[in-house]
Amino acid sequence: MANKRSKLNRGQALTGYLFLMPVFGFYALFFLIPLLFSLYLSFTEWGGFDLSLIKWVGLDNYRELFREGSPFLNPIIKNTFVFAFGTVLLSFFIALAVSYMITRLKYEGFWRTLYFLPTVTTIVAIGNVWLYLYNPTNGVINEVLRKLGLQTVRFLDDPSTALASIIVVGGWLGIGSSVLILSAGLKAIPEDYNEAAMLEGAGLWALYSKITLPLLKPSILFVLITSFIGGLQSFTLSLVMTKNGGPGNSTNVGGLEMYNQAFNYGNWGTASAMAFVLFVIIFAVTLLQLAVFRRGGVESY
Amino acid sequence: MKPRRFPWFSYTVIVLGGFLMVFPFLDMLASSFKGPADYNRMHYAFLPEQFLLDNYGTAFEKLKLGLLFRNSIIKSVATTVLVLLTSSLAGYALTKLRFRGRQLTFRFILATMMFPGFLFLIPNFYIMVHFPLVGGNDLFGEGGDGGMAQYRLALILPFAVSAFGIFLMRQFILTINDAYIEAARIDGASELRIFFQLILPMTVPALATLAIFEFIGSWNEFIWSLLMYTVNTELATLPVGIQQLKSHLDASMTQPLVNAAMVISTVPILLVFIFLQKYYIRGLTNTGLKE
Amino acid sequence: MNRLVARSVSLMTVSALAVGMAACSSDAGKGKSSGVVTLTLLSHYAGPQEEQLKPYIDQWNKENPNIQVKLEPVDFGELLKTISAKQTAGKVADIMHVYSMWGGQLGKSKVLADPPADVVEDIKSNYPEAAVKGSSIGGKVYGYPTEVQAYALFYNKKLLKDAGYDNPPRTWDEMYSMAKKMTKKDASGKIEVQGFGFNRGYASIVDQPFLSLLATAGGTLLSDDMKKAQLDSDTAKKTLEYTAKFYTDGISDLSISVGKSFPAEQTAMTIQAGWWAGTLAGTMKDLYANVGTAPIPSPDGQTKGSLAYTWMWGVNSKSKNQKEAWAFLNWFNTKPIKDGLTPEANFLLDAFNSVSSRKTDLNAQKLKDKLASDTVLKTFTDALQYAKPEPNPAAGAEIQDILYKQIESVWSGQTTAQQALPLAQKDIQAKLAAD
Repeated sequence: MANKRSKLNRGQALTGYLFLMPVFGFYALFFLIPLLFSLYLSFTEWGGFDLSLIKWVGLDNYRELFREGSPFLNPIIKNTFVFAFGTVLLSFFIALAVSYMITRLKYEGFWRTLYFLPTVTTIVAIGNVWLYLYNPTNGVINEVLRKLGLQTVRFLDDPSTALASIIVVGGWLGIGSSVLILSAGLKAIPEDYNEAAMLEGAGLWALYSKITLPLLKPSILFVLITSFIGGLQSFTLSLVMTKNGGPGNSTNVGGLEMYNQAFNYGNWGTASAMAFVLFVIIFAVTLLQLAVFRRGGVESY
Repeated sequence: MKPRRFPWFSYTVIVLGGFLMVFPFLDMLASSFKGPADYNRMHYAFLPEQFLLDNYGTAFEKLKLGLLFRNSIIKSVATTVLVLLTSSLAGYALTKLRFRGRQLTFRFILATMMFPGFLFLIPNFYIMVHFPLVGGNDLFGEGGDGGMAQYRLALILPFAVSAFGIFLMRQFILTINDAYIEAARIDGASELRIFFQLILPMTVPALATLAIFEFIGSWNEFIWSLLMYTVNTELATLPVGIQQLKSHLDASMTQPLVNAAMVISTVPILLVFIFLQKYYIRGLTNTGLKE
Repeated sequence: MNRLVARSVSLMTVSALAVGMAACSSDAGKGKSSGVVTLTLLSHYAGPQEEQLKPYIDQWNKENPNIQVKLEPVDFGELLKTISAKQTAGKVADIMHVYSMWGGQLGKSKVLADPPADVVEDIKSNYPEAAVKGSSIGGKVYGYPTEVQAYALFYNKKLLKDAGYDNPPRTWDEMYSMAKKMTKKDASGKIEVQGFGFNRGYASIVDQPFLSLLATAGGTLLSDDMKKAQLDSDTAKKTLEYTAKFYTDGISDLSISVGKSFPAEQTAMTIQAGWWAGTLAGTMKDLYANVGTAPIPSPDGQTKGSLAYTWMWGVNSKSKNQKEAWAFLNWFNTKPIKDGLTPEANFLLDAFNSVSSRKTDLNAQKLKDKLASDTVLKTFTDALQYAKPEPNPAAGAEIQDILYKQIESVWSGQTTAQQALPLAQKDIQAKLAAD
């Protein structure tokens, strides 16, 4: 019997490894090797074409990124954070309200689809559509402002409003997926909790803050972490809407600068160093978020 | 339970908000029927002066839409199928099969989610174009022209496994009672058989969620496809094609054309979502992003 | 139930395989069949310009069934990225149209092939010195010069006349005061007609007019040996402050696209390169008669200054068909095929209303007539005589972007010339030192 058992276990182990083979292979090829390669590149100077032209430069790339007055720290990293914070705050709070309200309405699916519309659309289309909405001469937003007798805004052409304009689009874009995850979380809360509380005469707000919100914490954690990480990484919107992060560097974010360094200027070493700095930042931020939530009583996965 | 009051407030907010969500799309649709002069006139107007259908015809022609659609569909379908397969296999192994290093593997997979995609953009690009024995490359990945980027596979491979997908499937399969599996084992069913005939059918709701998620994601994916396109223009997907159309033409004169192209590329994915969203939500709820 | 699932699973597997196969079989087996060589030609001649280039390519393809040329157009903004990505991938274009500014960067990575001796000889003896210089990297010729373009002032005669001016401005002060007078605003303060405006959108289109103005004041971006940045000079500061005044004083608006508003007669003056005349003629039709050109105003009204940039046709050092590629380029750039002009000269004329810089082309009657009758064209051929060539250090594209970002920050009021120039100077100097 014992013999059979261990045989069974061995069979299971074998199957387990077999089932995981594609995953192991994938991570070896598209995770570990690139990670090491990219780490190595970050200490070199390389134009990207010929491996024999790689030149080891030690910490030079990193030193250059952190030198006094480096545009990478200010404004690029600053913009990256502002963008991520801005989009997350915007989309999260709106999504929290919307997901809660939607569950109380008829035709829930219809409403949810409306809010999810931007998420299923390619960012290329989103960026282009908003470029037109923001158009200073004949865009709809300025037309409305004019009708209301207000000062028109130059949005993407003015460095003081450009980043904010992109944040609005990023936030708008992110509402849908957050709504989806939060509504899934809301649905998982058993109805009788609410009913019990209602019977005890709790008001809607009390109900929401005392029962719904705490039970929703895992979903909230998930939404915040994923969208914040997404926000720190994302640069497609900047690429599509401003091409190069202009005017000046006012909408330039880490990912975009890295992309340009590698493929425009041929500074693959600098680009890799940037990628690692951004990675460390994202990693630290994620750990911080997890810690904050753990203290708040949410067990993570 | 007492009847709830009609939620006026919620309706107002949701409808107004919904309008803000939809308006840009309506604007995109309306502008796709405008002529260049109409589009560029000094003051904004929502409706076209006259509805021109020509933009759609021209967009079809200029965009090589056949190629773009074929590439986008192959990329999205293949990525989705691969992710479903690898995620469910891994999800099952990580929950119902006992072997050394199981927990470690799971933690590793979770940890990979923290690594931003752009960290891999540059090295993966290099790996793909220097893939050994592919596209004219020798054993050391040298000497070819384009390597993997000669094939559509280059659009798919880097997305074949998804940490999120594995996580989702694992969480779902955890909820399946071990008793079923034990019973099947005692009946002498092989692990493969158990997986394909017992487990997979039970995970359909989670698979549906994941499928929609992946399909939408890869349909809209842009940066990697753009990179592959710069190596091999035959690999253009819809988002890349639209962006290129935009920059090839005098933007001020042809934006309506671009709008038409965007409408064409958005409609299919929208339909996919509208028809399947019920399953999507259900799957999300069941997999419990809680735990 | 189980059977259904089993069937659907096997269906899924089969379809995965099928899709995988489809993905693999995309464009295999192209290229060399039966001795036909296909050359790819990568350029930023996209859209309407591609249409203008095509007839000549078709002619070559018809006459040379064994050497077929295939066009691969990309947007100008994507060209360097595309060259760079393709080079890394080894899927290189055989023939490339290269902006001389990138010469240093491409030369450093050995992207361009050495031309055969007879090609070098031909180029050295048939093109003016500025063009030869433009197509050289570190003193060595790498390809046929094509567009050699200088900058000058474009103005709208009608708008000037309406404001009471018969002649274009000659000094900076004149240009400023004329622009101020011609700017019209609506009740809300929105500019409807701007007296003067710069183009925007990418680095070179912003940097080059600025550097042209700098040249009229006697300044340059880099020292002649390309070792030192010169943005710490008073001239640079004066020039940047002068350009910024148009924005800060409400004469120009950053959000108005000159490319759109000049042909619509809503911008009265701008600084642009010669090729733009061809674009304007195409979009403005009859209104093009209102367009005038003149040398760029200078501080004293006497000095003439401009910047000239060069493009060239080169062959990729990784191309497997270099001999055929040079054969094509030789035909395209040196063999008269129509009106005594080379295909390149015909194309430049069709697409940009620009003149080839090759001697044999310039001797052809058609170009002589054209130059005699076209005052716009004359402005730019004259400008080529006094224009300074754009430098091409190894970090060319990066330096261009540094300057571009600082100029935009100043124009948009984010910072001042006083603050921006030292930053640009320092960053550019660092890039120069790194090579």
